[in-house]
Amino acid sequence: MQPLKVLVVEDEIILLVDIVDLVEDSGFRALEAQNADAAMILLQQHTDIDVLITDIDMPGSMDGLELARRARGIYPDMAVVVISGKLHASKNDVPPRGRFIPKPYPRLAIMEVLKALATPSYH
Amino acid sequence: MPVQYGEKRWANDFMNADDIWNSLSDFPAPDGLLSEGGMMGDAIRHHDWAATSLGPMATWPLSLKNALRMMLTSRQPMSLFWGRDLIMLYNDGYAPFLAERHGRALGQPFQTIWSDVWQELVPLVAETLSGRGTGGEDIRLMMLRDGVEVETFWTFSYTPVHDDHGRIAGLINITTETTSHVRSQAAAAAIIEDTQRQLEHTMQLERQRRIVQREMAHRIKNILSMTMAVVSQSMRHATSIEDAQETITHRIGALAKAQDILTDTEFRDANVRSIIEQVLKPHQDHSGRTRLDGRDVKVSAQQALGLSLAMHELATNAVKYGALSNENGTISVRWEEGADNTFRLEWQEAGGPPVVPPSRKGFGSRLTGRIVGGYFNGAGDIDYHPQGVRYVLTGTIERLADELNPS
Repeated sequence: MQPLKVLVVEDEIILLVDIVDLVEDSGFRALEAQNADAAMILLQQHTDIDVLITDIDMPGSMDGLELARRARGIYPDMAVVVISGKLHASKNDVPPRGRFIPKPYPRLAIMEVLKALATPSYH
Repeated sequence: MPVQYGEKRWANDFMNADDIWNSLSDFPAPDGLLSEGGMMGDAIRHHDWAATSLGPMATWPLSLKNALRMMLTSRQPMSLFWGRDLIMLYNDGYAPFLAERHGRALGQPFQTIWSDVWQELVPLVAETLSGRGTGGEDIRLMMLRDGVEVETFWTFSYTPVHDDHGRIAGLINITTETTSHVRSQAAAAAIIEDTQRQLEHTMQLERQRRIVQREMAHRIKNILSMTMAVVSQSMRHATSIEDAQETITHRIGALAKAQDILTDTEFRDANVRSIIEQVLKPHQDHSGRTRLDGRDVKVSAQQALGLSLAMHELATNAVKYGALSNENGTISVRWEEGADNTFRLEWQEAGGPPVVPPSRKGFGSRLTGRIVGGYFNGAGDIDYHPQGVRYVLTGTIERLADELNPS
């Protein structure tokens, strides 16, 4: 079985690089985008993305939540992980079956979510 | 006990109207016309009516006398206008409204006494004399008082009065001056409005304070996230614990310095020269060793942060292995902004020991390459030329000012 393919979207490049490393270190394949518009293009080019990890506040035509909604519109089964510096994420902030990880993000939290997603019994 | 007509009686045993009438039955009928009526009653009795269009009092119709008596015994301010000239009569309650006109007003025509407001009142007078009572609430009238025109307000009603033949012969004005009431209402409204404005202002300040607070919390979290990323990246690429400790310390120091620039510029656009100067300041041991060449170019806060980190990596390496590791090496940094916000920065070292490319790529090279290149939507390329490290950053400048004023 192919390792899960993860799309990481984060406008802060240091964080983007670090999360991508984390994803790859955990044995997954990673794609990266610095904003939601670039992420949409990748979502159209790659039909085999399993997980979307996205920041919320990003410059561009849409934020991470809108990106997550559109990604789910194309791929209803896509797993979504939202990372944000917001104090609290309300239910409206996180898409259904989505995960929320507050900033500063603990590496362990991301790894655990990825491992859980990789486990077949997750669904 | 003899009781005077009009004297106040205390009678708790009155059960109904009949009791009251019975108790009054021993009063003599009032003597002639108008033995009552206070100050104005006296004035009216002693006025020379023969000289007016009303004629002597003895000739007045019963209807006028009745209306007059009703007015004079009432506590409600009233004035009565009778006959073709609308001759004025009024009671004690009304006298203060006349101010300095009181005294010369009695027996004068309406139009003479109230010449200053006559034009405004004519329609109401005409309406009343045609048989329909009129009036108004808080009606504004500009009126001369003590020779000064003042704004006054009145609530009043004009009622037609008929003569003994059933023809309308005048009107009675029942009135209250509401000037002070209207003024205090206006003052109260002004206070309420002012209070609401102040409250609005306070709420606005509070909203702004909350926004600033949220924004600060957001920035603190962001910088903590970046610090975590720098630490994890430094750990990931470190050759030893000591190496990790050193690079982490330096990089967090560089982040802190970049933060200073952002604080100084209030998180708006930062000057490229100040960013580079701040990084190279500790290494400028004698003049001419580091040369900065470029005009004032401003970049966004994020780009400033990235540029600061990259400059810091280059400077650290120069101190360890490059142009700043001996006495003679020099560093020249040139930058320029081209058309359409394009940006080019060149870091050129010379005079240092022969350059040997690093055996492995660490976080430092990712910072100068992928990361700062990403901040500028371009590329950062490092060339380990034997005669001196050369680093070229190309990309596009983002500025808050450009976002605020898109051309």
